[in-house]
Amino acid sequence: MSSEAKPKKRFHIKTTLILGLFALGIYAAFIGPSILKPISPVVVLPPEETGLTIAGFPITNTIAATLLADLVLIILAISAYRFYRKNDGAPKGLLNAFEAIVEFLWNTVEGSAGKWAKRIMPVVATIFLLIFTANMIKMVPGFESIGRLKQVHEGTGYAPVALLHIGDFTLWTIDKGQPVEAEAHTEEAAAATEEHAAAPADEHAAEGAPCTACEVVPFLRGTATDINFPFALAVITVLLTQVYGVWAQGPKYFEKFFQVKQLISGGPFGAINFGVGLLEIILEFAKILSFGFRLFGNIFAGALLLSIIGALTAVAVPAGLYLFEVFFGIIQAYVFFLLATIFLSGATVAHGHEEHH
Amino acid sequence: MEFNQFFVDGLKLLGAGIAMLGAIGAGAGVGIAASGGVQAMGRNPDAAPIIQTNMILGMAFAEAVAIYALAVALIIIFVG
Amino acid sequence: MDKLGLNLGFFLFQVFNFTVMVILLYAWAYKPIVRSLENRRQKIAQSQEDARIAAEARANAEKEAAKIIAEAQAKAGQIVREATERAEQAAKDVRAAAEAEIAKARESALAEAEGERNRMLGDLRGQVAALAIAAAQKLVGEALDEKRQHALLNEFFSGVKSGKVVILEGAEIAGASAEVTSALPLTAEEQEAVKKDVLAKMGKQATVTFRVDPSILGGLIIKVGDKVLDGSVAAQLEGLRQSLK
Repeated sequence: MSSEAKPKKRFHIKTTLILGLFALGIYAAFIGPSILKPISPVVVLPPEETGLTIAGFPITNTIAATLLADLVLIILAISAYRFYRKNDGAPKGLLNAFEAIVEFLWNTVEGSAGKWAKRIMPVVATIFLLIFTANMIKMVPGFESIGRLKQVHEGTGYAPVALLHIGDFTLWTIDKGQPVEAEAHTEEAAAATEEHAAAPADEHAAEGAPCTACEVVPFLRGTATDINFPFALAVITVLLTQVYGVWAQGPKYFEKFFQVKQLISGGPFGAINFGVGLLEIILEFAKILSFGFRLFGNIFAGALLLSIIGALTAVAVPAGLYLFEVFFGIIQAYVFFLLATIFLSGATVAHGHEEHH
Repeated sequence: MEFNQFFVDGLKLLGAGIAMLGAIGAGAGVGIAASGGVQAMGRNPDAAPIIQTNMILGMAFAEAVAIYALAVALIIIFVG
Repeated sequence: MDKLGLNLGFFLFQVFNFTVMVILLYAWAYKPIVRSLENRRQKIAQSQEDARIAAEARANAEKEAAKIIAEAQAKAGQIVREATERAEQAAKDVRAAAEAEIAKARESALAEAEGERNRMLGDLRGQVAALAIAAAQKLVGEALDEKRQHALLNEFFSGVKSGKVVILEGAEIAGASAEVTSALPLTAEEQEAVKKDVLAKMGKQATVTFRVDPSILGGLIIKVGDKVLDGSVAAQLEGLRQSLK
């Protein structure tokens, strides 16, 4: 009896916790003060600048998230390096999970690329790990919600409210209960206030606000919601496909695109085949487009869905959607990885067009 | 002038929505690919890895159509 | 494209970032992990091979052991069988020896008993003769002299008349051994006479044995092979009785 009672008790604790969180969500969304109310997100496609710069290069919020994902991966890689330099067995904990992922990738690459696996592996595995880590790190609370206040130039912003004073630093939030219409003629003032937006340090809270009609520009935003990231990966993949093709087959690789032999000896069908070969060039560009937009579309739509549903139903439903997002983050990383593997390993073996006829 | 601008904006959004109709076919295609793949894997579990790879490849090509639709919609909204 | 967010600077940053990550992860993660995986795979294959060899060796050892055990069992069986045979042989020998001993003892006992009886009958013979003469003197007076009577009695008992065996007169006997039976033990001279007579008929190399059987009353029975020369008083009396009937 006692052995049965124990898990039951734990279950009760979990139930209480979950119900408490639900109650908190309901309070925040419907009962509590208006600063806790969820708002509809501002749909912004381009990455936003966080105000930080490195050597004159502006750091956008997606670049910051990319660097964070890099950091996680580098820490894992260094600990893996230190581990494997000393011993040969399987590591424990997080490193074991890392090793399991790498092993899975290696098995997939080896199965499809054969003896070229060792050369293809770094590229495709990095694609997977980077997308995977970026997609997972995006789920951490604070992403897309903590940022600096920015003056809205058109549409509706919200009034700023001082939340905390720590020395000279003031933590602001926006009051969803006080929508403020942006005024077209405040642009100059907004430009002036934006300069010290990151750390507003004025004495008077209400007057020291960086803006009058504000929106939050997050410091961190999901990497894949920045169209540059998937397109960079897509362009690299397609370019490397050509590079690996030439590396493996030499100039013969380009016969896939320019089927001169077919044109000369193939008769009327040869001419058609030559045209098909030319179409393959367009297909390569289409690959870039589909690669890039697939990842971008999935992740961006996921993020959008999350914030819109979060604003509509604040309680319980977003939790399920978060689970869905985790799943989609993994699937998209895997699909990108698998397609890159297939294209790269396909480029290393001779195209079989001549044998078909 | 003002009214025309609103009208054009509205039509843009409508056009983007219509462009996304292309996702219907892609959705059906992905579903068919998954169905065929799962059936094949059920009949021949030994060949599951090869079937899975090809299934995902086919799904990716089917999905590409939806992605083009999405690209068109995005371009209509944000660029055009 | 700017409104979509495509920006050459950010794009190049992502490309650069990816390249750096490929190099770093290759050096720090993929190379050691893949090497370790390969090592482990090799080790597993090696240990499987080792296990297979060990299993083979064990099977061989088991076969060897089975063979040794079978040999040992066969040897043990043989030893047991031999021991049993030897023991049986020994037992048989012992029994045979014992039987022989017993037979010898019985034989000697029998011979002794026979000798004793013969001696007693020999002693008896004188007394019987004296009694017979006394009885005859009482019956017929002093008609006969003592010497003649003794001769008659001796003849009666031994069946030997003046140095010749009566029943052998005109008889043909042949064989390797002869058995002479008398009612009372014969004296040495009588035995000598009988022997001489019998041997004269049968040849020098034949053997003659003597027996005493009081039931024949007098005279001699000579048995050679399956031929019996019956000169006993009992037979004569029987013949007399048959003829008187």
